[in-house]
Amino acid sequence: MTPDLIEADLSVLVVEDDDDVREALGHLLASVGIKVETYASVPDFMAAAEPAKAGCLVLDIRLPGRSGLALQQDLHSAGITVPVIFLTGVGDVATAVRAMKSGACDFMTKPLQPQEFIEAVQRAMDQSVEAQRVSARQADLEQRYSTLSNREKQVLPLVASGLVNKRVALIIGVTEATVKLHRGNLMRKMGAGSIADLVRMNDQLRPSLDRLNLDHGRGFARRRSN
Amino acid sequence: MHNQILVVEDDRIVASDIQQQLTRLGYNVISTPRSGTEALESIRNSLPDLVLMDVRLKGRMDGIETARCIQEIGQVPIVYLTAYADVETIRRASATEPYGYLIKPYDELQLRTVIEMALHKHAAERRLRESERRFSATLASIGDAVISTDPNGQIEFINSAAESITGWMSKEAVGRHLSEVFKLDEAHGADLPKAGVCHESRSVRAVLSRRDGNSCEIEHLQSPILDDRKRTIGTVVVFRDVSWRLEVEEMLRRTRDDLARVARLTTMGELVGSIAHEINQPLMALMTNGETCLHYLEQASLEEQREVSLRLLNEAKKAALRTVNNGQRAAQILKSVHALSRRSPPALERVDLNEALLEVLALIQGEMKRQDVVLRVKLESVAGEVLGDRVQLQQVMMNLVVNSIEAMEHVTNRPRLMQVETKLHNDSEMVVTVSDTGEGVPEQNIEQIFEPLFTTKSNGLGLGLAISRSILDAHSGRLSVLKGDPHGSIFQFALPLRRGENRT
Repeated sequence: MTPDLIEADLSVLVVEDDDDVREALGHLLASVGIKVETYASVPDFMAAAEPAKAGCLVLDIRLPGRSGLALQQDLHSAGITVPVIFLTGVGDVATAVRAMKSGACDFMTKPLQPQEFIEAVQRAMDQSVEAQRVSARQADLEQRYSTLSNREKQVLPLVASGLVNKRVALIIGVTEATVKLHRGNLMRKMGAGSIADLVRMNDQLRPSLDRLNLDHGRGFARRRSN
Repeated sequence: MHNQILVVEDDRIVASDIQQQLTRLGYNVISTPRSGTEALESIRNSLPDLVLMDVRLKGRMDGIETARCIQEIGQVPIVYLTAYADVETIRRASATEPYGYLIKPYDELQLRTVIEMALHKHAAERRLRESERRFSATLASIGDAVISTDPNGQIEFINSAAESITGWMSKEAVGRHLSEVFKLDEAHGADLPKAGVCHESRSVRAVLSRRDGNSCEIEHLQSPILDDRKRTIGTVVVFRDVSWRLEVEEMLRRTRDDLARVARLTTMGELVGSIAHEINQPLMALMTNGETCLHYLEQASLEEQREVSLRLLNEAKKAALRTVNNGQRAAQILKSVHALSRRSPPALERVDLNEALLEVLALIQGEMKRQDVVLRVKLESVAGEVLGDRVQLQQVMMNLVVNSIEAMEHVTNRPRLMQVETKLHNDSEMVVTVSDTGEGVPEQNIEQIFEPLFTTKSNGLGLGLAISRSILDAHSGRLSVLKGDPHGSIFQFALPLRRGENRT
């Protein structure tokens, strides 16, 4: 019966116009050690909340003025990917489906079962934490990649695709010994413990490579045509 | 057509002579019986137009006696032929009401004159009797009750309808004073002057005491009877039983109340979703607060530090108190719903319009949310109490508010705003205004919308505004509609404040 307490100091942001419900939800989350901020309307929320830093959002789909759904779509367009849990009244299934399709994390019909609500919030928070971790890791990778020299940037994908040093040397036009040197440096800089790590890192970097390294592709293509 | 004359004369020569004279004058003599008995026999065969009767006749019956017998058979004019007229004879003869006398000797001119006059008079009397019969038949057959009196109020005539309403038979009523038979209940404001002559121009409601003591609601009208010279020669009272009408009015009132209730229930039925939502909110808060309370109690039971555990228990207590409030909120919604759906006769009580309005608004919160309607409320700070039936007044408010929400159903290019306001006006009435930013009412329909069964909605009954107006009429209020600026409609009703309680 005792719920697990979440250590992360991420907050849950609740937007709900009914006073009693809002108050109750706030106290419920506090009773299990979750940090919570409550807002009575979308304008209140826009004025004071920082959704990008939140662990999850709990929104009533129908709010006076701007609906919860519209708010979520606004956040989505602004690139804010905080998980959203929608609260819907009975009979709002169509809207709930729309909400899910537009990227909501979960939806629950009122009246909520308090325990289920807490579990949904925890799942959303976990998702947030995980996302943060992934994003932090990516940032770290990109930062390390930017410390690589041009040669090292050339060698990385070749080694990651499984080619032996000799082959790499032939492709680039340097000696095997040089390749070995670059390889050692880049693995150190990237913090890779093995080739397998390097392969994974290369995959993770690939989507961002165009952004990070504009002339990388051109150089490689020139080489291949020889 | 020749007039048929019977000549009763025992002297043969005289009889023959008269016959010749009459024939010459152009009359047709049926026969000339010599005695009363013969005359009666002839008359039984066929009724002549006139009888010339010799006063003196031989035999058992003389002329006068015969004449009397003839009167019993039929209405035949009789003219006596007599040689001399003594007082006694004339007296006896007059009793038979003859149409004339011919005293011998008479000439042909006299004969003709008397006969002609008799025939004319007889014809006139027959016409008069005919006319009387017709009037009598008319009076007897009209549904209304009629009693006529002489100038002193003594009843001369009472028709069958009057007999059945008053319980007095004609035989017993005629001759009595009007007030004995036509007894109006004093308590109900009867003012029938004893003289029995009265001039009124409109029917008046009254309560009649029948002969058997029972009461009967009637409408009556009295008029004087005037003769040719416009002198009053009596009174006629015409009246009718209207108790059935009162029953019908009562039934109509009850039906109207039933209809209002049906409309109310229909609206409530349509609002079930909204009402369920309204109850859902406090229930959800209640369950959540209960869970919170349990969490804190659990934590407190595991906590060793007294200070911390006291704090946790306090949080648990706060959560429990919140559940009580939540429960009360749900109970209040149900109370409003119950009040609006109960069946009871309209009651007059003090109604705080602000409170009543807020109750109604609470019930439609869900509907407003569903339709994305923003509500703005401005209440008069001074509590305005009116006298009336709370449920019916709330029905009017609900009708206007639901109409407003529906009017904005298809609005997409501007905010759906509903504004509800109560305001004191002239220190004597409370004005309630409901305005919206919806489609508005087209000019040509402005008065029509209050008519029963008028609706522009595909699934509407068209009764709401008609019933609302009739409820307000019954409360001495008025309902009106104005065009909103720039969009929508403004519905407004005003109710007189309860006297003596204009301010709290």
